[in-house]
Amino acid sequence: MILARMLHALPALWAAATLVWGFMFIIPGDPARIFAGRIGDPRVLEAVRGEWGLDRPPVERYLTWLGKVSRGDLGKSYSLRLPVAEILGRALICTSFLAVAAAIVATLVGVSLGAAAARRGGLFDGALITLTLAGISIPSFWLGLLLIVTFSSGLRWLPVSGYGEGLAIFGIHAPAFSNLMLPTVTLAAYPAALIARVTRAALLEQLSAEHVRAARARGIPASSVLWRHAFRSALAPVTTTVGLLVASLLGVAVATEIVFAWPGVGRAIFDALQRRDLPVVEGGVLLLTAIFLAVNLAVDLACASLDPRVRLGRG
Amino acid sequence: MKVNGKRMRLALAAALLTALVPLPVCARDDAYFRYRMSSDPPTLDPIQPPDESTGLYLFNIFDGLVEFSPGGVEIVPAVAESWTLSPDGTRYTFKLRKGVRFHNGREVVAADIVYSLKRGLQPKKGSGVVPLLDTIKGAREFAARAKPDLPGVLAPDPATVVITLERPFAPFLAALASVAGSIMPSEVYDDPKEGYLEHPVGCGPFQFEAWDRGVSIRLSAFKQHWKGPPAIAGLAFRFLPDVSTAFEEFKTGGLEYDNEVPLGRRAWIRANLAAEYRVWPRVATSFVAFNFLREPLRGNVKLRRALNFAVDRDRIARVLQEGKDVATSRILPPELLGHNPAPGPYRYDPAEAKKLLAEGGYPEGKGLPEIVYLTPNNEAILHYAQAVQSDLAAVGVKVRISAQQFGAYLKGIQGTKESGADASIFNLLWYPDLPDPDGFLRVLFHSTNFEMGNYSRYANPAADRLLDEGRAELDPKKREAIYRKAEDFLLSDASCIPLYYQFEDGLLSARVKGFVNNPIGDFATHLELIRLGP
Repeated sequence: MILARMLHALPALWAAATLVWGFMFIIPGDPARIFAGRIGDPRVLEAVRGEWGLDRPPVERYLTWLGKVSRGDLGKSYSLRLPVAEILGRALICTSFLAVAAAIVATLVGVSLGAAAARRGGLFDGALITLTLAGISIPSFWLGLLLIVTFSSGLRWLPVSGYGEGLAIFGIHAPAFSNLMLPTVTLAAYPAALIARVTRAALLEQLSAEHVRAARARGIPASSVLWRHAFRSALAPVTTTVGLLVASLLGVAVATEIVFAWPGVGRAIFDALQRRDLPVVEGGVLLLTAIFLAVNLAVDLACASLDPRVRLGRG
Repeated sequence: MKVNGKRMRLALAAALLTALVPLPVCARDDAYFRYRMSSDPPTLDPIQPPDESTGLYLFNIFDGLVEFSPGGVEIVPAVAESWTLSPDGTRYTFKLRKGVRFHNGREVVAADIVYSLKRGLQPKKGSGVVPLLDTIKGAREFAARAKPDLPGVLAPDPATVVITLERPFAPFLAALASVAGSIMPSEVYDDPKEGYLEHPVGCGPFQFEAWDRGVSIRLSAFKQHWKGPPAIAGLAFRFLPDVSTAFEEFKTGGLEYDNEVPLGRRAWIRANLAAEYRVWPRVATSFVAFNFLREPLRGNVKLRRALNFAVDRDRIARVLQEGKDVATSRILPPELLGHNPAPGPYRYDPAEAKKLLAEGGYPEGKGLPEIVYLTPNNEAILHYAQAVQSDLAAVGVKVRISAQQFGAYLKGIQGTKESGADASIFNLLWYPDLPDPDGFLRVLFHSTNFEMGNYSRYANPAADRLLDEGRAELDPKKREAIYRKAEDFLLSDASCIPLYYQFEDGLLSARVKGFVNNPIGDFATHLELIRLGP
């Protein structure tokens, strides 16, 4: 079944690859002209168009690119002249630290607040609704700047931006903890708010379900009813939400990465887009799609183990 | 699964407390001059097409035979300690300074200059400096691979370089002072694996130290530099894409220099950071260019003059550019030879504009088709593009702004051979690659330059003649007179709508001494001369 799901992902990957290639083909801005600068020497334009294959028919270009990608070759960056896999590999490590930290914070905070609101109700529940509404509504770039102005420029507790230098594991530097904090909070705000809402709703539904009422009637302690009976049943929708949000964190991190000068995948794609560095943009989008699909599959597997009624491949 | 609610609450509280505990801000790299850049450069190869941001690294890593003076546009000796020019103005003989070394320790010899200029003349390698060097004898044939040798550059002995030009070319020394004159060691730049793209080797005051992609580039002081070791430990170029973040970094001491002020914050900065805020002139003029391949502007000088009289340049400079720039109706900026300090021929006069519009065949704008105005999709530029639009509307000229992302805008202004740019008028901020009137007027208005700067497709034999004369004349006094005449001619023909002389502004930490902005651009600032206080 897992193999079947993995095979189902292939058409999705192909569609994403084709879409991004098509978009990059139709958006205005000639990569050769951008490389050649404001004085576009025709000799340079001709040379780079030939080297990059831009002088060949679009169908030939597309098929050549697709053939290479299917063999795992993402090509070479036009402007940086480095393999795309190398550029994105470095950036993915940086984004992963941020996305994983944000996912942990968002899940812990979101589930805890959602559960507490469902349990306590009243004023706390009202406050949570307002707070989550703010978390969902505030654009991440604005929240990021607000945090910088408060905690970096104002209180001087944390660095304004940058990756910093944390522990090195197998030659890979983790970010400094102090540098990680503000971008993590910025990136976690939206998913935390959404997870809190989903947890609250799922738990309220489960608290009025028959099996929970039966548990109460059997005299099982309230905390045990909440965590063992209601919360476990509520975990399936929460897990699905967490999974989808975590997968999307890699893609939506771009605004946070720009505000905090974080050297991640989103920023690499953003910079490449400015320069019309097509191989990097195409490779980056493909990478994010593949990660999204992989996380999605992992979530489905987790849901199946949490709820025996859910079985992979049965819709 | 048994979960203890009390323990869970405790764990949650601990996690929240950890997040709130103030942590020490990481140690600052105080011995380096930290400079903000918005993104990584493409590569650090000096032959790539000239670009503002890469120029900054290249000017510090590489030296040429000559260089621009600190804070000025004069040419002063660098690796060459002296030179002579033949009476016919075509042959330069440079004597090299003794003891100049590359960062790999080898001494610079004349053959390195021959090698470097040849390397720059290879469009097949994507070299963008060919137009700056192609006045060298045999350069065009060499660049086209029609001939294997470059007869115009010779090294008769290890300490002498002779460069012969096809014809006298007054800005040639400026071309050698630009990145096109960077001296490279062949043993590094012939590497087929292209290791030099990420680890450049030159003979400039700073040597490459590290490139952490997306984070910073670090250059350290080159102790064996021919001027003596720089007074600072090195340069750290931090990549900060967001202007507001960079501003906060500067305020908290994370940058010594921030060269971009957030839009709308100038008044606050003048009031609160007066000691750090600086404004300096740039060899650059902002103007609205016409498309001379399209009706109705082609062949209708009265219409073009009417548009010139209709625009309120003072308001644009004073209000929309927050008082940073200086309004002008001239083209050549004050730092360039040929600049005329007298007021230009166009003042803000809507009545005169209406009169000329009627004389041009469009009374009150009747019958005049809508004019498309192409601009980059940039907030500051859009501000004044809208002001131009409303000024023209006030005299009856309908303008539609087409704001494009930079790549599309660039493609749009370069246009096609048949119809020129994609619009009737377009915005252009021109800063020349060489600080010389040739790099301004010839690039923008000579009829042989349609594909490399003259995107207006302006063609006038009288203007061409003057611009050819100016390029070949070596006497500065005579050149000045020629360029003044050329500018007057171009203005009387209403070849464009000049708006303002560009000024730059930025924030410099009070601990920095000896920093002098160069009007050519920040890339030409002599960072080896600065010192850092406590």
